[in-house]
Amino acid sequence: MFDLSSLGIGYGSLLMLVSMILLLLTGMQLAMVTGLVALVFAIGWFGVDALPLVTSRLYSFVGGYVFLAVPMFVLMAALLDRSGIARDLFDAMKVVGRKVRGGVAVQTLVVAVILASMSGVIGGETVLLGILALPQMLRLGYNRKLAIGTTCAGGALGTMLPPSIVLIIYGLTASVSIGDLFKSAFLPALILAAAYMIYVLVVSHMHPEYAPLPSNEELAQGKETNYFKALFFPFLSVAVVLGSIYTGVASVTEASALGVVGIVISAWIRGELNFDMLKESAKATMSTCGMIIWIGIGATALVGVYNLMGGIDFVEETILALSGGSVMGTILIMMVILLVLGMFLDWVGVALLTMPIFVPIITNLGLDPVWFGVVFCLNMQVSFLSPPFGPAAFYLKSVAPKDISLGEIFSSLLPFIGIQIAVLALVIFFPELAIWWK
Amino acid sequence: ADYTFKFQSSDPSGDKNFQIQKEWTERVERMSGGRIKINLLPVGSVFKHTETLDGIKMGILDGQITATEFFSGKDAAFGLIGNTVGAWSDTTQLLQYINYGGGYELMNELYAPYGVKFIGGSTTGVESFVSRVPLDGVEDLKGLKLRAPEGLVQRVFAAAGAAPVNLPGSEVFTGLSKGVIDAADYTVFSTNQKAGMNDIATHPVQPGFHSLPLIDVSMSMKKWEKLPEDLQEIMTTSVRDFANDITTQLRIADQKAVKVAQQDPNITIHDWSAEERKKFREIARTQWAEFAKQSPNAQKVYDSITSYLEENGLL
Amino acid sequence: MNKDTPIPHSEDAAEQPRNLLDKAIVRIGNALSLLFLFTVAISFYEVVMRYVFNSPTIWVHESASFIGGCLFVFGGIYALATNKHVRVVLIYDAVSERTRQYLNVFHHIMGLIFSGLLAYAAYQMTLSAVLTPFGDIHFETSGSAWNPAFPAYVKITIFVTMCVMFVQFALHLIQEVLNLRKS
Ligand code: NA
Ligand code: NA
Repeated sequence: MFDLSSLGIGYGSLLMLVSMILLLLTGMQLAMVTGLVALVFAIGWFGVDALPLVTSRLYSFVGGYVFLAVPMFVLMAALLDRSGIARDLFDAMKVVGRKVRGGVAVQTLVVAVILASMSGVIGGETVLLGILALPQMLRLGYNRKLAIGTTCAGGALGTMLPPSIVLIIYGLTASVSIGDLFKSAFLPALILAAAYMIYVLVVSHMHPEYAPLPSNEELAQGKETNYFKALFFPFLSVAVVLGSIYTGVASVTEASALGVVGIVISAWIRGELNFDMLKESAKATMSTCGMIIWIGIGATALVGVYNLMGGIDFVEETILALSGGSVMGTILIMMVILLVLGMFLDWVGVALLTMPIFVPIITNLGLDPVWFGVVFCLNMQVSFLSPPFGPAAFYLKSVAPKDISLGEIFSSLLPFIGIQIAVLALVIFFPELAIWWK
Repeated sequence: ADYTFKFQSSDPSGDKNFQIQKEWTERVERMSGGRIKINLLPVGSVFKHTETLDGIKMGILDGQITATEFFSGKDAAFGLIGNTVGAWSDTTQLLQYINYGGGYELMNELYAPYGVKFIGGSTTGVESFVSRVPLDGVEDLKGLKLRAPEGLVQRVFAAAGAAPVNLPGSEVFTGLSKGVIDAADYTVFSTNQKAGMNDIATHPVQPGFHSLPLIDVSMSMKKWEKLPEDLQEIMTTSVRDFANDITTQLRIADQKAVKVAQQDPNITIHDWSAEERKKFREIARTQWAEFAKQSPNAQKVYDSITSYLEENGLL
Repeated sequence: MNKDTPIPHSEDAAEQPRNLLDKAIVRIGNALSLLFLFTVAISFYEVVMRYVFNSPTIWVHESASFIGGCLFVFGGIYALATNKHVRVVLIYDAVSERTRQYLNVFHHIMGLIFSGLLAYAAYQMTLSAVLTPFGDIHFETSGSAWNPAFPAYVKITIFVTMCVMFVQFALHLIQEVLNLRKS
């Protein structure tokens, strides 16, 4: 039998990373890649007897109460998608300024922000915007890259604005109050959304051909929007979810369940509710959850094996050695690690891998773990868009016109990734943007 | 080192308890002249806190520093001895029972089938009870909405007339500040004070009356038996010192925090009288008896603890 | 935007169940997915009971976590049956059809190892969750005030699901090898 442990933790880590990237690039399922590497290292490093470690982590992971927020958020997005609520919201937001160059893109971003404050997972929003907004912009003759980028970046905001599953998982792994994280993420999330809007407006101004104005007939269309009907239910749902969390009526998982109930009731009042819709939404939830949770399972297995190998001490020592103990150096190294991991792994995996190691270092440096949570969340925004593994791009691809390739989507996202990194830097250098309320 | 062990703690690495545990591992290394090296892993790094016993049994972990009550699902006996809710008014009572009152032998008997050796017991400190409303006795618990971890603690509070609520630890602060709950079984006074619990729930009961977890240091029996006698003795003795170290350090921190809280005009510290504590213990005892019915081992624990308490005039 | 535009839900051939087992998994999964709605309902009930009637339940949190846990595990084979697991396809999509078939065979061999090892490990874990060290049957419970045997049930679910996944990969592998022979 081969004994991997003779490699030592340094080369062991390297071998782990390289084999993971190679397997990923063959197109193998992410969950299987991380899981398989975990299993092989468990056997190779410790022997066959260590295998139950992997299933024990699987068991611990799926039984966590807080992960129930994932299906709730997915269910919410699925219901929004199948009822007319999101569509009415989008139509109503025409008021935002169709007469301005880039107006539809800005409208898209405004809708993205509202949807984002209802739900907390990546995917639902991107798909919704891909269906509602992208075709409109393409029809008007918007620059394709601008349209695609706006849709993806806007859709990713779901996990930046509270409620956010990323912040919830961070709060749990770092034992930090989730309410505090939500409070701190608000301003940075809005800054990010505003930065996207400014970018869109500036680009449209510099290249008028990128964002043609709608014709007069088009402006005239659908003027009789019922604003009350279109806006009331979305805002009610936002109020239910965020309200129940902030007033402390419900825990985050319960609040997400309340959100689902809120949307079901809204759909019922609007006369759209039927059993098929519920059934289809539940089906979508099963498949999306299977996907999301299994990525987490693979990651948590890998983390367990790596920790047992002595990975925690190794990473900690490496970071401290590279940074020479400087605070800013440490943070920058962490950011680079997160950005690189975020290229290849899903955010759940990145959080589970790095937070048990990073957060104690952050607290030991005397920094605020709540602030770091917001920084982490911003960093994960980048990971949603960055190739080769960019979930927002995948989601958009699944609903975009066939002639839009993944390659085109990723190249459209580059300027938006730049904006994300700029806002990330802003929050790193001005922590009070997040923790102003403390 | 001749013997390298991996122990998993039930505390996160940023925690003060973890630091004190880490100091113990360093002390063992020095006392053994470098022959023993213990790598301490934080909670959840390899196993979930309820799964470490299996982890040792499978030979993946070598040992653990954990609260025994986490294994309640394997055998109710662990729940009962791990946190005999209401039984102990201070740490010395529990340590005396464990080290000199039959607890040590009983724990070893309970762990033997799992291939685990109980090296020694410790505890944190009597947890302080966080409350928004004044509580001066058992009577005040009626209808109180309180957060308590699952298990025996919840049962005892329910028997005392309170309404226990399940809330994850991370939600306790917001829950209290918004009045979702009136009170919470959280942790020791110094930590509560530092976390600002006493500022939002200004009627802490200190010392608490409810919860004093048994923290056990244990390891794989196979690996233990391979240790020469002198090293076994170093392990046993150093754990006894560790128990003394951690409880004293926490008590000092508590005393300091109590002083700070006393200076604060908004905070009223409540200290229950001996009679009220005894009343609570009586209610708790009925629940221990219920709990003990779950397994023969649990009955053994019940008999052992109640006879100890009676002999020492605590019941 | 036209209100009647159907939302394009993927009907991709690659995402259709491949064989009888996959079809059965999808069927069962569709039925089980309704339990997500059930967890919503009981969570709502819990909030109402606690906030309005001041009497929180002892069973909602644990039941919801239990149902969720089992569904999450099942979701793995459901996503496999419908080929929904996330992958990085930048290279996979760029290579020739023939190469892609070889890659598929490789993936399924890896998947077979993955699920086989997991099933073996789950067997070990499940055994110690249903038997005491003396060999008597005792289902591991949660240790809560309610104390249901959910931990044992979740572990059994994991074991059974991993066995099914192993068969799934085996059938897919056979199919891929046959495809490779044909072309
Ligand atoms: Na959100
Ligand atoms: Na990425």
